[in-house]
Amino acid sequence: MLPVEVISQLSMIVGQEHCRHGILDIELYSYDSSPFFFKPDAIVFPGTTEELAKVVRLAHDKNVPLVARGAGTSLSGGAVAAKGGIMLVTTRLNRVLELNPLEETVLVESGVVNLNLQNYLAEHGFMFPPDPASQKSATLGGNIAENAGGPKGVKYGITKHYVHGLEVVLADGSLTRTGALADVADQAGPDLTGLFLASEGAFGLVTKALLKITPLPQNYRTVLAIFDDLGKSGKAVSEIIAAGIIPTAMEIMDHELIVALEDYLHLGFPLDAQAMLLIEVDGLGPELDGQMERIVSICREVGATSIGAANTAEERDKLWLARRSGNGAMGRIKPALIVQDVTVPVNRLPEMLSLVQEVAKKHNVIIVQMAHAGDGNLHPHILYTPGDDEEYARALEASHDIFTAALAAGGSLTGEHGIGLEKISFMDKQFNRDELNFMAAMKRTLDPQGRLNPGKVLPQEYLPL
Amino acid sequence: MSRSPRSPKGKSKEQPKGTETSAPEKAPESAKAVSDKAPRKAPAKAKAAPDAAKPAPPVKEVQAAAEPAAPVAPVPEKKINIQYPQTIEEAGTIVAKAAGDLMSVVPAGHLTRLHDSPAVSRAVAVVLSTRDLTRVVSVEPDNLLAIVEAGLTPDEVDEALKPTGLYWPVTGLGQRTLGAIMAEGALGVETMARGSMLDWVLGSSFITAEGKLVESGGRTLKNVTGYDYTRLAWRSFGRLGLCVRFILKLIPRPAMNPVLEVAVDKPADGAALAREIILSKMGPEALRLDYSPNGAALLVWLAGFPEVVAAKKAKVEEMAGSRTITVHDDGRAFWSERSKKWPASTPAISGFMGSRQAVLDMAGKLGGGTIAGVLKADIDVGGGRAYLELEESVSSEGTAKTVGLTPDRFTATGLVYERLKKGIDPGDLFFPAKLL
Repeated sequence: MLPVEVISQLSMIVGQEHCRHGILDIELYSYDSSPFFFKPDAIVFPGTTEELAKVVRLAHDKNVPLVARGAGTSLSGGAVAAKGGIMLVTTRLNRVLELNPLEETVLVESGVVNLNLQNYLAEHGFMFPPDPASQKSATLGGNIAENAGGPKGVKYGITKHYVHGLEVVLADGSLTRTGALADVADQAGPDLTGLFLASEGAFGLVTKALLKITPLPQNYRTVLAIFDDLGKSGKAVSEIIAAGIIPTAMEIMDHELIVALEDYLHLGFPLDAQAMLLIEVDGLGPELDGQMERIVSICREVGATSIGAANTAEERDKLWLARRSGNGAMGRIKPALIVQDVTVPVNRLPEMLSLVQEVAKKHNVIIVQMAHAGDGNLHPHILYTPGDDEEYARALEASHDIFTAALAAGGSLTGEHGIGLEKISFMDKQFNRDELNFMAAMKRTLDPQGRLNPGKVLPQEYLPL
Repeated sequence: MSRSPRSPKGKSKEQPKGTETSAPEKAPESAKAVSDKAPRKAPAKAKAAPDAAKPAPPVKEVQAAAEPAAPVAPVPEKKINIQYPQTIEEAGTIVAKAAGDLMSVVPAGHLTRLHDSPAVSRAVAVVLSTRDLTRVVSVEPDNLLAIVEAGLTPDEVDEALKPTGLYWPVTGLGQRTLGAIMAEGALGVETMARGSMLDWVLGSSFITAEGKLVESGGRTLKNVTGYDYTRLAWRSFGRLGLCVRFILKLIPRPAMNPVLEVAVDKPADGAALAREIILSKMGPEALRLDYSPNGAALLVWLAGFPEVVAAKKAKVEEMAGSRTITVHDDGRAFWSERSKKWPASTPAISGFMGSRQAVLDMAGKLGGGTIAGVLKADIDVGGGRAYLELEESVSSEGTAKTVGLTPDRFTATGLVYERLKKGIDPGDLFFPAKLL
C-alpha cells in the first residue's frame, strides 16, 4: 500500500483524473498479456516528459517500486507490477512530433501506438519496419523496451536497428538524451542508446525516440505454399535462406492453426494441410519475379503440395489478416494460452518444429505453432483452460522442454517477447555466472535501489539489495 | 573451421609479441599527424621479428618507430608495454594479471590511434592489441553468419567471405580492426543504407575487468535474452572491456555494386543533386560528395540485383541530366582503395556527426562560399558526416567552430556513462582516461 501522502503527491503531479487507485483500476492494471497477475498500488498517466520525470523522482525519493507500461501487451510478464508500487502508463505521451523526409527519421513520444505511426508514415511514403503482431495496441516505448520484432525481421531487422536516439528518464528522475538526440557536445562520445533497447524497463523510462524510417516498398509478391508435413515447411525456409535469398517475411502456420483460422475467417484454406508457409518479397519490382520464381522452385523441390500467389492487394491483405489473426483464432480451441518465442539458427528450424510436436505429445497438451520462420523465431502456443491447474502445470513443463531444446540447438530463450517474469528461472541456462554478474552490475549501477520494474530479467540472487 | 588469410601463425607480424615500444609521452597537437602514424610504421621493422621456432622474449625494448617526416618538434619518449595475445584465453590472462598488478589496460587494434590515448603515458599501462586475434572461427552460410575474432579488418573478413558468396556490409574503414570499429563507433561507407557495424553484429564476446570472458547475443537473428551489452561497447573507446570476438550477420553478396561518379560544377550543385536523390526514395547504399578546389563530384553507390541496379542507375542518369558520369564497377573495391589513399596528408581533419541537412548546408559553403582554407572535403551526405583537409594556416579550431565540427566536451550522457564505467569496472582498469 502506498501512503496516502504519496497518492496525493502523484495526483498533484499528473492531475487527479490521471491518477487511479480504486479497486477496479488496480484490478484492470494487474495483468498484461501474460498469465501473471500482480496488483500495483497506484496507476498514473503522465501527459508530459516533465510530469513523468516528477513521478519517477517521487518514486525515487519515497523508495517505491515503479513499472513503466505502454499498452500492456507483454507476453512475458514485463508489464505487471511484480512488487507492487506505481504503475506508470505512457499512453498519453502519444504524439508524433516531427517527420523529416530528408533525414529519414521521425521523432515520437513513447506512448505512440505502433500501428498509428505506421498509418501516419504510410501517408508520406515511409514505414517503420518493426511490426509486431500486437501493433494495433503496442506502444513504441514498449517496442523499444522489449526490442520488438515482427514478420519483417528477416529482411528489415528489428527495433534496435531503427532507433537513432532516445530521451530517457533515469531511476532518480533525471533526464538524459542519447545518440542522435543527445546534445551536440555528446554525440561524439559514448552512445548509451543500446543500453535501453531490450532492457525491459530496467534502466530508465523512454519518453521520446528518434526513429529511423525507410521508404515503403513499391511492389510486393506474396505466395502461400501448402505442405503435408510441418518439418517440410521448415526445410523450405532453411533452403531458401541457404540459397542466398532474403524474403521480407516467411511465416509458418501449422495444421491446428489452419483449421482454427478457416473456422474463424473462411478463407478457403485446405483443412488437411499440415503446414502453410506465407512468403513475401518486396522491393522496386523488376527483381521480384526472379526471386519469387526461385522461392517457388525451392518450395516445390522440398515437397509443397500446392503454391498459390496473391494476385491482388486484397488477396495479399487476406493472407496477412490470417497470419495476424492467429492468436484470436486459437481462442476457438482453448480459452487461454502461453506463447513462447524461442529462436534457433535457421538451419535448426525443421528439427525444432518437429521437436515441439513431440513435446506436445509428451505432455499431452495442444501446441499450436506459428513461426517467424525466416529468422528462426518459433512461436509455439501452448493452450490451456484457466482453472485446470493440472493442465497448466503440463503446459509449463512443455514450455521448459522447449526452452531446453532451443538452447541445445544453439538458440535463445526469447527472440522478441522478453524474459520478464516468465523465463527468469532459465536465465542461468543461457548465461553463466560471470555474464549474469555483469548484467547485475549494470542494473545496480543505474538503478541502485532496484526499483525500476523489479523482479524481471535477472534472478533475485544476482541482485541482493 | 576455416582460417583468415593471415592466421596468427602464418602471417607476418608487425611487431613481436610482448614488445615494449616507445612513443611520444604526450603528442602536441602540431605533432599529431606524425605521431599518429608511428605505430603504422612498425611493420617495416617488425617483419624481421622472431619466427615461430624462436619465440620472442616476453618483453623486448625497441625504439619508437615514428615516421621521420614533416614539421614536428622532438617530443619526450616513454616506453609502452604492448601485448599481443595469440588467443582469447591469453588475452584474458593478460587482463587478469594487469588487474592484479594494479596496472591499466588500453585495448587497441592496429595501434593506429595509440597516440590519441592519454592513458598510455602512464607507466602502469598495458596496451593490449588484438592484432593477432585474427581467426575466422566459422562461416555458416545456412545461418547467414560468421564467427570471427576482433583483430580482423573488414577487408580481411570480406576476403574470407568471397568464396561463400556472402557479404558483410561494412566498408571503407581501412586498417581498423573490428574491435576498433566497435570501440570508436566508426561508420562504414554504406551507413546511409545499412546503418553501422552494430546492425551487422548478432553477438560479441569480451573480456571484463576481472579477466572473465562474457558473451552477449548469439547465433540467431532475433535475441532479447538478457541485457544487450554488445551495444554498450559501441563507441565505448574500449573503456568497458576488451572485445575479442564477434558473430557477424551476413547477407548474400550483391550481384552488382557500381559507384556512379557524377561530375558537378561546384559543391552546391552536388548537394542539390544529393538532396534530390534522397527525396526520390531510391535508396542508394551511399552518397558522398568529393570536393577539392580543382573540382567536385557526387559519388552514388548502388548495389543489388542487376535489374534493380539498372533501374536505379537510369534514375540517377535522368536526375544528373547532362553531367558526366563515370562508372566504377566494383564499388566495394573502390571504397577500400580510397580509404587507403585518403587523406594523403593531414594538416587538419575533422569529422562532423550531424545531419544530412547540416552537411548539405556546409557543402554549399565550400568552393567560393563562406568556408575557406579547405584543401579537400569528403562529405558523407547519407551519414551526415564530413571530413575536411585544411590548409595549415587555418586554425582547425576556428574552422571547426565555423562549420560546427567536433565537440569540445561531453555532458549529460557522459556523466551517465561514467557511472556505468564505475559500476562495471570499479578499479578503472580499462582505458582510465576520462572522457568528460
